[in-house]
Amino acid sequence: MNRLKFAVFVCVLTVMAAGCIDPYNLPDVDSDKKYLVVDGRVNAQSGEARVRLSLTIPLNDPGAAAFVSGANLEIETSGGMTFQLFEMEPGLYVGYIYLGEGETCKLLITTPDGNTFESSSERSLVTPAIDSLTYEASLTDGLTIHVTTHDDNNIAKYYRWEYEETVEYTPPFRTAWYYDPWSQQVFFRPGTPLDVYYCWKTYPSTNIHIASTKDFSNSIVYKYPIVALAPDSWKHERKYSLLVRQSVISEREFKYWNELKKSTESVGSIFDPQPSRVLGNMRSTSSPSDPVLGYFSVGTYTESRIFIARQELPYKIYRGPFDRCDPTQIDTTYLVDFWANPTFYTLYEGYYNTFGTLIGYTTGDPECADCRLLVGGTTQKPDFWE
Amino acid sequence: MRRLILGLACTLLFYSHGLRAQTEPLIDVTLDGGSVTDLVNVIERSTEYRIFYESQQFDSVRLHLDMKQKHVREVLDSAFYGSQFRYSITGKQIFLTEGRELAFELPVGFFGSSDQATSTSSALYDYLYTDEQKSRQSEDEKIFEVGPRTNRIRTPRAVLSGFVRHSVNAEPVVGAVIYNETNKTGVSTDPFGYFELEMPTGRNDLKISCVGMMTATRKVMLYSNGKLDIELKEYVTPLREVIVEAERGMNVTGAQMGMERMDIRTMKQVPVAFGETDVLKVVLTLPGVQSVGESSTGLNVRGGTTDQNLILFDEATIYNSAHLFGFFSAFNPDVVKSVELYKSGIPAELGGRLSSVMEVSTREGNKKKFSASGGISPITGRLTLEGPIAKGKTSYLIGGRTTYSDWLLSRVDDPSIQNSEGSFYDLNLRLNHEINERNTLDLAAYYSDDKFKLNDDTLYQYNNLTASARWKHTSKNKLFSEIAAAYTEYQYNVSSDDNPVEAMELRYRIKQAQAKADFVYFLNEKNTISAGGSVIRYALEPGTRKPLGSASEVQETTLQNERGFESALNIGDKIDLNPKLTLTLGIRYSMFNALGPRDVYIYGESQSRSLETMTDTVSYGSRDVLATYHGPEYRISARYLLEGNSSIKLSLNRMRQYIHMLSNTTAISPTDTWKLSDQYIQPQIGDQISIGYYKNFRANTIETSVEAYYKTMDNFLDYKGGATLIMNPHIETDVLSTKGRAYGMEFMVKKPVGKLNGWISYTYSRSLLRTDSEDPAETVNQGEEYPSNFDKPHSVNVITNYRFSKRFSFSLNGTYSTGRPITVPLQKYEIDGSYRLFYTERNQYRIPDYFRIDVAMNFEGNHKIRKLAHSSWSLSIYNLTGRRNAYSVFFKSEEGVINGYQLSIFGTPIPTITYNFKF
Repeated sequence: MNRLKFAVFVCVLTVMAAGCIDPYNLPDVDSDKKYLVVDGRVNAQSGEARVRLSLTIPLNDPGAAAFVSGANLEIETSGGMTFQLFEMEPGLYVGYIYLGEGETCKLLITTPDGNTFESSSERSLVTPAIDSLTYEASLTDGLTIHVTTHDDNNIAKYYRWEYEETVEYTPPFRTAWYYDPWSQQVFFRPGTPLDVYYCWKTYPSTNIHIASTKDFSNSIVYKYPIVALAPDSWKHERKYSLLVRQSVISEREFKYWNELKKSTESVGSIFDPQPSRVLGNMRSTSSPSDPVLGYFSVGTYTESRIFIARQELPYKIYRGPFDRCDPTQIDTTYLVDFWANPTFYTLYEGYYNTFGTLIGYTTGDPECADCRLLVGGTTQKPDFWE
Repeated sequence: MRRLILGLACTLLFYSHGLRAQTEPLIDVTLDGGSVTDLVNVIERSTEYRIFYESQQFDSVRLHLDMKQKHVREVLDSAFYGSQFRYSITGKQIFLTEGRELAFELPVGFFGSSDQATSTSSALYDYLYTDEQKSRQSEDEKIFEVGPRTNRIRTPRAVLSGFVRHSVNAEPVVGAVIYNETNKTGVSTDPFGYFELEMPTGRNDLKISCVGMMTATRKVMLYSNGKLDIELKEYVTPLREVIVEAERGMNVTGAQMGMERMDIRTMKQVPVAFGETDVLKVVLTLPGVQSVGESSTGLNVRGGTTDQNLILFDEATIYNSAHLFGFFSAFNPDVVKSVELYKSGIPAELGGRLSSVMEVSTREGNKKKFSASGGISPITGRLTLEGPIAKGKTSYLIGGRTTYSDWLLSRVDDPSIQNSEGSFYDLNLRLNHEINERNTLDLAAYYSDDKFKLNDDTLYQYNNLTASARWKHTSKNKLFSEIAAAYTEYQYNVSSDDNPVEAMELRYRIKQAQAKADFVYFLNEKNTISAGGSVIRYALEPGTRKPLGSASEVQETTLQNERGFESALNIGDKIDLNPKLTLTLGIRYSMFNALGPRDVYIYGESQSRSLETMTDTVSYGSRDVLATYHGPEYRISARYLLEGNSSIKLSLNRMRQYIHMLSNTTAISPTDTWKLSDQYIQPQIGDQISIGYYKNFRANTIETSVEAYYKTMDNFLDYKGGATLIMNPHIETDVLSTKGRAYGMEFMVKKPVGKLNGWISYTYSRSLLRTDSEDPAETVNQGEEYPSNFDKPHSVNVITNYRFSKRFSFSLNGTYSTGRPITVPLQKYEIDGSYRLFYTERNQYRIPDYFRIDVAMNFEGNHKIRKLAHSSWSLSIYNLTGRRNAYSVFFKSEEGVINGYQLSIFGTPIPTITYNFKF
């Protein structure tokens, strides 16, 4: 987990402040061979099956993954039923299946070029509820959120978590007025849909979070650290919420995620293992020697959410993305001229003379007052927000 | 015995003196302020005596004598009374000397028995031994008669043997070269300072040299087999130039090839990162020796893996030779005397690993007086105490070393560093006892402890413990034997206690007990027979996981112990067919038994082993043998001397290895485990053929060599992707048997002596691997040959040292090598909204080339020999250019995006000041 710390350790040993890790340009690798990537899962409770098909792309290709459209996907259950999946959007195939108690299912794929692929037979495992999400915060280490769970039946051995972070945030300045260039009028924003002060943004988990209780006498996961935010992270600037989705996975799936994590996340120490290719439970039936990437996972899910308001935390927040905000003032008389190009500036607040007359506005970059612009959140308050 | 002979000698001299006195003529001498020359003239005129003396020595002497009708002796007595001058009379010759008399031999063979060798040298030795003020010069010029004097020399060749010792502490001088200038042959002393050199009978001029010692010469009149002990003075006062000689001439004339020997003095000149001489780092500058990276002490010798090196520390095996992530080696430089590394031509008595044998030997304690030495560098402190227990006979040496890195870390104003730990200490003990002239007993012990923690709660700890006893016996100059027993224990444990539910401790331990006997017999002038045997008993505890604390849910699990027995017999003959051609024919037959008790998994036939193909479990009892492997190991080498101080050498080697390190990391990691061969893990077998050409120039002051080798390795272990190596009860399902081959050429130019000394080496080498499996799913790179992790084709090392004055020297080192191969992801793909990497072909790319320059300056205190403490300062700058040499390149998925990084261990110049002292 702290592999990169090694380098820091060494640097300090040698009385150096700078780190010893430098960026390295991704190698220009010419590889015309493309492999199929299957990212699929079945929620055994709801029966929803979502499978994303794509192809590998060269390492330094800045574009998005190439999706595979027009494939034929079926899920075959051990109950003898076959369910067809439909392409909802390019590369995303969705369908609903019925999986009886103790039944297994497998995914069958025929790509447009006629190649066939199948997964191994997977069964869903019962996922216990999350016991608790707790957090610890300190000035030095920042905020860490832990998952605690256990299985009363002591069957679950391997757990996987995914999460969604939702952040409520405000820009440093509140724009109370909205200048409409068409009508050349100024409108009052608060309480209207024009208000751009409160925003929410949701981030999916990008890293792999798994734990094994194989070596434990009971299936207990105590305080698995799922999210760690640095003390200066802007994410907990107002209010932070974390939704954790838990599932119990098979040993094979655990190995898959574990290897994937080891070879793509936990690297960079002097004791790194040799990286190797990581294969899941898919294989090509038309040309067995071709590797197929990704995993077809069947599981059940339980969820839990936690809210953490800024007031609960022991420290002041560093305003990450907004630290370059530097407002200026403008007289009302120059308003129309000044807003000939209205995208550059946003009115923040009015200011008044000693007699209480509005004589001008503070103004500055729109990013410093419109929460949607810099971070890309939405002013629509999520349904679950407390 | 020796004392008795001397006593007899004295009596006899006295007696003959008495006899002679009666017939001696009487003389008259009157000198008033005359010189010695005047006295000599008077005596030579009036008697038959002839006087020999060095006139310069006496030119300041003024004599006042007035004697009538006195014997010559009486005259000389009063002439030199109270002065430092002495005289000696033999026959009709008088020698005038300064400081002491000359010792004259007894009539050789006087004591009758001819197998007594001769008392000559030993009597002389005793005589000299008590006189520390003696002049080295006279010994160098004197002719030593060895063997019973005969009118006719009976044998054409004879063997001269003896010990080379340090003149001050009587410690054996190892690796001193005894070079016969008369017939251009040479030999070096063994770890006990013992040598045997065959030479033509008659007059021979020997030159004895060793690193850090003053070169001595001996003129020997050899009648038959005999003994000559030689004392070498330490090179304390550099005169006009420093003589750093390592095996002068031996690289051409010696029968051994592919062997490097380094004395601690040479090693101390090489600059290092943290100011402390590091045996392994210096070995890494030798041709054919590489490592994967900067902080790795794992050696890759001629394309072999790091577990293929047998590291012996005073005969005991060392399993983890690194301290503090490899920044320091396990060997305390104050205790180490020398290192020998065999890359090829490995003698038949050594074996057990495929690539090399590295013997690190410690010093003996000072037998004459107590002394202490030590040093302080930014990270470590060392102290060594030594002295006699029984003067001249028994000595001790205790050395210790520790770090204050923990203290340094706690000073750093960064919480993640303050939470880190990294420290080590080690202790050495050495006892040496000379039972008598023919028997020596040596005891050595070593303990080391390492701890580190990298800003989390996981604490790593490991220990080495070794103990060894050696008994060396020489009988009648013909048979030389050494019996050694050693015990090694290596263990590590990893503990983690932050999370009470997961708190656990993991332990690994390897225990090894071994015994060994080696015999060398000098059969005749042409044959030197060596024979021996060894046994090793292994007991491995491959892993125990234990809960820590009552809240821990960790289940205690223990992997089955592994036991094994390795034995070997060896015999060899070094045949000097003629003065030019020497053949060394050796064979070692080794056998390994994997022993019970153990439950062994059985797998379906003709399938790759995996949990799915596991069919059964068979239990073996404690007396059962699970598997037996055995086979011969050929050790053949030849040397042919050519004209013009050059030679060619050839060697053929087979090695077998029964213990394997399980590691899928590139560098040696502290959690690597070792595994014995069993039903599934076959022994590794390696063959090497090498050929070399050696030539020396300018009276052996420049040595050059070219060696080429080709090597194959069978059954060494690689791992399936994602293999678990720790706490894996069925490791056989995760390993891949791999074949390797390596070849290369090593060029070296060495200037061991002179103001400017050092070496330049260039190595071209390749190391290639191929998975040895039928299952295509398992093979690495589709069964194609691929470069190993340490395949660095071009490598250049320059080590230079220039001594400006007696007290100041400057060293400059340069290192260049091709970047090591790495596996680069060819493609990326998206899973759950994050990009992941797809690695395919292993080791097809390389990290940037490695280049580094280091400098060091050594300042010595003044060179008064009699001074309370000798101190020296050394200032070194490691990585002078501050180049950020890549240790590794890695690719990471961060926030869903792939980023590439380059990790360098030392990114800036690292200056270090070290203070060393000795008193």
